[in-house]
Amino acid sequence: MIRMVRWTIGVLLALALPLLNPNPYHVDVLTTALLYAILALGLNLIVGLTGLLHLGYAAFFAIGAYTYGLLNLHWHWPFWVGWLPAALTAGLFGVALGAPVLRVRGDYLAIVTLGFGEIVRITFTNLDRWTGGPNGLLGIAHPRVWLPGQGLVDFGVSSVPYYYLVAITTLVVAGLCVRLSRSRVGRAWVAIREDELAASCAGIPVLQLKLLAQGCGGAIAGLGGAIFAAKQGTITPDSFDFILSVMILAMVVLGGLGSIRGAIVGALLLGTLPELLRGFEQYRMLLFGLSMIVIMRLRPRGFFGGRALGRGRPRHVAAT
Amino acid sequence: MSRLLEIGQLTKRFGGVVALDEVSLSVDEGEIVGLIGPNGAGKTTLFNCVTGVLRPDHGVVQFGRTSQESLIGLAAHEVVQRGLARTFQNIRLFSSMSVLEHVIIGTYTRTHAGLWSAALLTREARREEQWARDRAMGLLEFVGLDQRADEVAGNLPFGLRRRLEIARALAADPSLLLLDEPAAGLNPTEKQSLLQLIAHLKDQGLSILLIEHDMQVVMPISHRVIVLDYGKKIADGPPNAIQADPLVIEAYLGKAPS
Repeated sequence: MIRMVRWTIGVLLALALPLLNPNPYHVDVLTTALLYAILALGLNLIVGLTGLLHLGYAAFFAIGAYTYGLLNLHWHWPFWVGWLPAALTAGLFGVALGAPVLRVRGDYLAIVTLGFGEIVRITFTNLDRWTGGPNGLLGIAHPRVWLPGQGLVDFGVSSVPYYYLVAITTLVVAGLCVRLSRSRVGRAWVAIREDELAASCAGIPVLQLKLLAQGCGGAIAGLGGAIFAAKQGTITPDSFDFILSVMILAMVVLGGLGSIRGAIVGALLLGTLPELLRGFEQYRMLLFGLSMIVIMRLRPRGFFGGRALGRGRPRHVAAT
Repeated sequence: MSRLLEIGQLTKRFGGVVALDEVSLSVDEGEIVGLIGPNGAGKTTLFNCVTGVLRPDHGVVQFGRTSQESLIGLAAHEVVQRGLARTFQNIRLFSSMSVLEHVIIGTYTRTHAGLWSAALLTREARREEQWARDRAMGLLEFVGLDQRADEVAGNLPFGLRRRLEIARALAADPSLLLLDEPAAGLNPTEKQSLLQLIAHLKDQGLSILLIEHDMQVVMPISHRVIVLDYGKKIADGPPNAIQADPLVIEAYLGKAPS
């Protein structure tokens, strides 16, 4: 009951924020941080619940962004339709990447996914004919809504409508993640993370569920990508670099692996911290790095986490 | 009694080491079979080959109540689906999960809820979840862990972890249970209560293949005992005959000077 009240207050506060503080810069920073929260929620399914260390997550974000961008530029798909194929394509890539790759484990998987992330970015950079190469896609349409009395209203460049779009999406995605994590599928993911052999001998089809986790995580990033493309209007390959993958991973780890609240809190913190530190000018990133170290030193399992990164790796089968 | 598990000429090599050398054995329905042998005799390798954890080099594994089906080449979860569940010698639990969740995980092959029904929280999914919960609680009661259902499994004392592993395996509703040294590391009291638990399972008609070092555990409950030594089967018969078998005594104690 108390939890319900707390959540409701939190949600209402989040929705009222642009009204309480209409500073466009603040709203924009928060919008970006919440977009990170969507990504962190998706990566949390892969790394936090299922325990697959993924270092190329930005690739799914890119695939979603480019899918919506291309559909919009070539066939004029509106955002409200285009986000779905964007999410599905990214999810499909998650599964397609997983199929050959998930037989490798732990650190090796991390290296392979890192390669995947780079390949996707480099492919978008070099497929000039379709993706505009390093210049990216220009002129992607913003979402438009029909308002009574005003007709079709373009979201435009103001951050406020995107803030609401991203905040509501974060809520929906978080809700889905909570349900999933408490379901038969979510339990099986955690079982795989804890002990793969025991999980398979308890009847869990490990490979299939790992693919499912990659697919779900990929689809969430794809959805985030579509929103990102619609907000920016322009996407270039260097928005989806390795640093982004690492930052999202840091958000998940900082919040606590496997924790849904943690993913959101981690994303909000790491998403806003560099902006909060702007006053320190050239020392900004130094302090940012330092504060990450301090947080991990004080809370090695993250804010809400029950597990440290790298623990619970598969042990080998006794051969007697 | 009808045949439940039939293993023929099962062979597994690790490099130059022959862990299993043309081993043939069978388990009938309702039977408790003890599998004994010195360390390194190939007992756990046999379990791993039967349960899809390892792939044998050659040999047959046939399993089934009414019609028999080959288990060779099946993945571990497919073996469980067909009614063959196991426990591990070095207990393997999901350390962050609660006791109850472990047993619910065990019902995985007997439940169906997928991504969509979980996301939409359909009535079907909720009913199934309740069913799995009830079944898991029932099994925890059966193994005497119902009072600790909400504890984190990692906090359980050793003896209870073994019981939890058995409950998890039972949740898959197996027709044959493979227990890998269930009494290892237990104190005499715990051993006694484990024996009682196995006796209960026996009364319910469950078939069990049991690896065990402790003769006081194997001999009284087994209908039949099979002895492995250096990957070969050296004896197969009722417990009292096994205890008197000179080959078995030699394998365990060495050859008497003549």
